Amino acid sequence: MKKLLSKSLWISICTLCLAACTIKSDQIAPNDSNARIASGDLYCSTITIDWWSVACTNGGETCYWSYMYPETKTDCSYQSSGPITGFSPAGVLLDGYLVPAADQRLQDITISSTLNTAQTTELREALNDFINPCLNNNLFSQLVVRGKKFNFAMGSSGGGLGGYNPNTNTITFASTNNITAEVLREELFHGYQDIFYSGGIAQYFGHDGESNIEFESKLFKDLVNMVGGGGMQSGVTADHPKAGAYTSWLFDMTSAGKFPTVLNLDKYQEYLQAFRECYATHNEPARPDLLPNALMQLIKGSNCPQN
Amino acid sequence: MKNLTFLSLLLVGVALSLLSNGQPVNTEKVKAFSTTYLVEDYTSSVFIKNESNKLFNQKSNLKLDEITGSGINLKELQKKIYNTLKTSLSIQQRARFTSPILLKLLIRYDGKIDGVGFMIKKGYSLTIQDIEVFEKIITKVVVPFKDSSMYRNANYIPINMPLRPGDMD
Repeated sequence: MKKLLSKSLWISICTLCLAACTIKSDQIAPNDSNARIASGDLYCSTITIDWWSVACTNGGETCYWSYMYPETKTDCSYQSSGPITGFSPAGVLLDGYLVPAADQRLQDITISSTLNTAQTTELREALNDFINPCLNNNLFSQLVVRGKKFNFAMGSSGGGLGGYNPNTNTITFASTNNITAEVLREELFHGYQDIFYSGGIAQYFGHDGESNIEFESKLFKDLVNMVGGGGMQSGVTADHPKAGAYTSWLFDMTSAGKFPTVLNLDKYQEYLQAFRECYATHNEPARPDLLPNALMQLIKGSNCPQN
Repeated sequence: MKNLTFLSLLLVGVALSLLSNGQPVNTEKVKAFSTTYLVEDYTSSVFIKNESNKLFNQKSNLKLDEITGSGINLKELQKKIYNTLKTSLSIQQRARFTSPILLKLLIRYDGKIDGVGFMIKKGYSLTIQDIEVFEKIITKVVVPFKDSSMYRNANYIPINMPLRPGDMD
């Protein structure tokens, strides 16, 4: 059974390799577009994705993949210079990607763990809770397809509930109470950013751009909350004068219960600055060229409802 | 004198434009049945809050490492709010609930909802009287906690929660 599953994953990886070969690299289309909101040229890349369907039995233990069709997709981004970088089409979600059975999920993203039995049980449950919202499902898929794995440990997380160290691939939790789906959502998103952005995210910590990385992960959390069942706003916190305006922005983007496929970058930059004022630990200067492409690609590559 | 008046107006104009940067452009008071609400005007939506609820003027004292909704069973809370609204709203009120609302819940450590604000799109069919009814219904809901201890020292717990009419049925 396991062999079949491994074979399925192997096939999917192979497919992604084929997709990677078909990139028509860096086609630049600096034309005006209705979707264009902020300044900066519009850069587009065209990629071809091979879509597969998957049918599973035995609770996801045995799966068979069959080829469906190729699709050409154009993804665009607004950057001050240069083409889109840091993302290969291997990150695009395969249609019908198999999320493994509950017991196997943690194993699929683990290198090692120093958590005790009770903490591991909490982590397994948190991961299962985490999987439910649609966009989280895609995030998990991206990690598994790209072979991203983590060490899990308890420990200080720089004052937060949890932390991700890109140098050691370690996710830490400040306490057992903090082993939750919400903490995982942010830390796994950092793991995804780490494979998405060229050179990883360690280069930004303590330097210009750290606030971009952190704010993108908070925005991800806030959008998932707004589309789903709610939560505490973390991008611009409730005590900041712009909290209401930030909420209004989130509400505008998600009120129909769908994720945005275009961000107003002026607003994004405005709330990024507000975020820096909220979080003294992440207030290094923002980089105007480091746009939230990891988040937007995650949304666009998903099967979640989109505006 | 004329120049002085012009200068004063100009300064007021500049001050107002600075104040409106990312904050509500203006706020007005609107009376419902018995409650007065403050309506904050954002670009395409308004935020409505009970004028007499002073909690809205207080900053949340949550520390950064306490900013999490994990201690609350949000799914259960949303379900309870939907169920309470379903059984308490009149047919007419339900008919006017046609578009999503974003609730801002100010929750107390003991599970009581101490305040509820409403973000709605401009031009929405709900009336200010409907908002008063919604407020009365929602503040009766008791919040289900998973772990309330993480909010022990909070003056309130601010939670944003979307309500969509299609999800109520």
